[in-house]
Amino acid sequence: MRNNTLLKITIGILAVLGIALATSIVGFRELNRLSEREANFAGRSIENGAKLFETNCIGCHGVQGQGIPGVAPALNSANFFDGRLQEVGYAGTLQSYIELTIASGRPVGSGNYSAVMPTWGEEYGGPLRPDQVRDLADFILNWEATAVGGGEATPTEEVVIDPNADPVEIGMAVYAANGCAGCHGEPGGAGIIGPNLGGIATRAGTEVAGLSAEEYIHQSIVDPNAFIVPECPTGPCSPNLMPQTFGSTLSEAELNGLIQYLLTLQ
Amino acid sequence: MGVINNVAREIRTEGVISWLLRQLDVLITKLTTGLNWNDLRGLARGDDPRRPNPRLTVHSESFWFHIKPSYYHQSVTKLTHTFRLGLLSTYFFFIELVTGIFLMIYYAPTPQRAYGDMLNILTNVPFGELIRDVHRLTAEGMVIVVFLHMVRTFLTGSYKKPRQFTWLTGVVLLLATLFLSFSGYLLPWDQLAYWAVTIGGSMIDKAPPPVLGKTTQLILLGAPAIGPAGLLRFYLLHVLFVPLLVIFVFFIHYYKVVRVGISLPSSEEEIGQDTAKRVPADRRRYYLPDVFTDEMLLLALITFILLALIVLNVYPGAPLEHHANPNKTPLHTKAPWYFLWIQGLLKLGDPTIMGVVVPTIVFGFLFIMPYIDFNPSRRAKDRRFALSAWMLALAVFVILTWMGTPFFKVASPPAEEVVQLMLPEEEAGPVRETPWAELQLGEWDTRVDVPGDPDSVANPVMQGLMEEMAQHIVQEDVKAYEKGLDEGLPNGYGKMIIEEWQDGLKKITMRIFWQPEGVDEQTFEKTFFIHEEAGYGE
Ligand code: HEM
Repeated sequence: MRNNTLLKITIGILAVLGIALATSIVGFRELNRLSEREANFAGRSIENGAKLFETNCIGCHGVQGQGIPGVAPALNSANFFDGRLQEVGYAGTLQSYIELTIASGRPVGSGNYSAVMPTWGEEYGGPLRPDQVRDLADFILNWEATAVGGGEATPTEEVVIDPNADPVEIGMAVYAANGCAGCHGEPGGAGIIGPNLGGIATRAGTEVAGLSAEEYIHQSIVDPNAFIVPECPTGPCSPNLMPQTFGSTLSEAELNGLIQYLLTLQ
Repeated sequence: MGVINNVAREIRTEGVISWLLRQLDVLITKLTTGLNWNDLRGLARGDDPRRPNPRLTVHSESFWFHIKPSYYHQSVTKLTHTFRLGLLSTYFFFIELVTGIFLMIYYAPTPQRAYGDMLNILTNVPFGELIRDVHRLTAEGMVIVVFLHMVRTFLTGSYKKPRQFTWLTGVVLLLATLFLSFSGYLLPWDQLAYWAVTIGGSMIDKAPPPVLGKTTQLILLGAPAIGPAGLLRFYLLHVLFVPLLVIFVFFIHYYKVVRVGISLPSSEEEIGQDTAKRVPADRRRYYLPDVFTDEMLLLALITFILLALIVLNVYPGAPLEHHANPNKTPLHTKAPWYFLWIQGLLKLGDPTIMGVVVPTIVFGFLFIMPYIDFNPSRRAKDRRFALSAWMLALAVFVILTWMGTPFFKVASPPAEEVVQLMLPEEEAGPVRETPWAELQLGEWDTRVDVPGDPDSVANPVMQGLMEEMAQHIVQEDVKAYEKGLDEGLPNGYGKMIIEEWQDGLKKITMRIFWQPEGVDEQTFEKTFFIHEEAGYGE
């Protein structure tokens, strides 16, 4: 044998054995690793979804997905996980139902909820990428473990109006029952996706030339798109965010009360 | 008929076994173009060859071996002469081809799919993560190895006559290697990729004159910003065009190396002479088996080291950040480390000059260096100027690289920095590294006398986190002062609010408060969600 050939052969053999060892270590762990990684990324998807939900959805669906009566349904309720698909007659999975609904939105208001859900998916002109829609769905599905009772599709509550009551009080009740606060916040507080209405009485008269305060508020309720105020809490206001149906769903007395109430918000 | 009769007669006289063995030997000899079984054994044992030496026919008959010279000069086969860095560059490239083809199978270059495909490779493909790690580690390793190879050929003066052109093709290979790494960087389509390549793309845009910069950028990205078109172009460059270029230029490079021979140590020949090709018979070291076994040994060892680095987690694994998001610029956009020197340059002045002109001059100089160096001597003592100039340049390079990191002259608001240090947008950070269960619900404060519910006492882990946060606030305040920012964090303190948010999900609100002289208290707030299984800390 040549000089140090033996040494070289030994190192070579050790290296090859080392390669075999390293690969088998990886191979041995591989199945565990795969499921661990899967859990990791499922968890991260939920994290992303939580963040997206917070920036985009809580205005209508509530901070904890509890929904806002009359505005938008609860997403954390047992009913949502057990009954929703049957209710709407959807034959696919809940996951696909959620993803589709987020992506395409509910551009047409449904009977029970006043808010129109915007289209979120970028393929339909919304702001969210497909992976973000999936993240959101993963986050919503993660409520299943804690989903409890309640939260069935709550129809807009029949407001029993005493015709002799003070119109301002009627207005307050209407404001609460229709979930106006879901988007506009409590008057004097902060708006959520629509502008807060504290001080509306003062600005209403000057927003649109030729409309008195009363006329302006009336128009804004029955025909919200006629004039879009420039600034909303989350950026410039966009048309169609506010339900277009109040003109037909509110009675004369309710509408009048609501206007009278808003006119008190100096 | 005659053939069968012959075979039958042979078998009858020889016996079946020995006839089969003889046929096997014929086959082996054909496959190895001249080496029979005994020759092979002798080769592996290091015996002397029979005469005429069949090991030389291999070099003239086989494609792969004809590329290799049949013998070397003893002096150039010493490991410390070349460190076999050229071989290693080639080998690293080969690993990239193999692992790259594997990854290609599972990858589609569109913004809708790319990131999801990476997730699939990590969560669903057996050995997917290993292959990806090897591909990434080897890519970065190749940049280092090729760079060191260049430094070695510079130090031994091997770029001088008659090897100028070898060096020139080498510089092309260096650029191609860098671009290979860089183009691969974009493919995972995560935040890291997207923003690193955005910086790169915006640099091309700065190339003068504007028509040229804009046009080049449009051709490369297919649009003013990186999008589907840019991803597709980078993919094609990465898997097709640049590898073909490397293979093509490599063969020119290596043809030159073999044609003129590897340069001898400078002390072994007269100044200005080149005797590499005239190897005296007693100084020859044959490729088969000596050099060949050395090379195989080295490659096995390197392969083992690469794998060990990954398996032992010394190499933390190829990163995958969040999905690319054009609307969200990360706090610190980082170029890949081998381009940090350019990022460092960019911090020094005009982007056109620092980002385009200077690098062009650097590489331009590398291209023409062998042709403007008229000093015929390869000996160190005759090359004081060239050697010191290079050492100086390397030192500047290291400093620029450091300047390219966020440690140098990045002035983001200190409150944001504190939050970033505790809970970075990407990567783990101390909060995510804390076991999820230990993230105690409640409102925690960095000030010693925590106001609020006296019943809730922070567990030791939380106390540790809050102390760490307090330190960062003090440090960032000082740093802001040092960097000359308008505002540090005077009277600063921080809060961390941890809420149970969902099954396995906690919401963390980080708040930093500070109060400059005579102004209201200022706050900065950022919220995070941490899932039990997210596994950042592992
Ligand atoms: C992908 C990149 C490269 C590959 C695969 C490669 C490959 C090789 C190989 C196999 C050799 C044989 C000698 C040895 O191992 O040292 C060699 C020699 C050489 N390379 Fe490279 N090389 C690359 C990049 C470069 C670069 C960046 C330079 C310089 C700018 C360069 C300059 C040279 C020179 C001058 C020699 C001749 C050395 C001598 O004769 O002593 N190469 N190259």
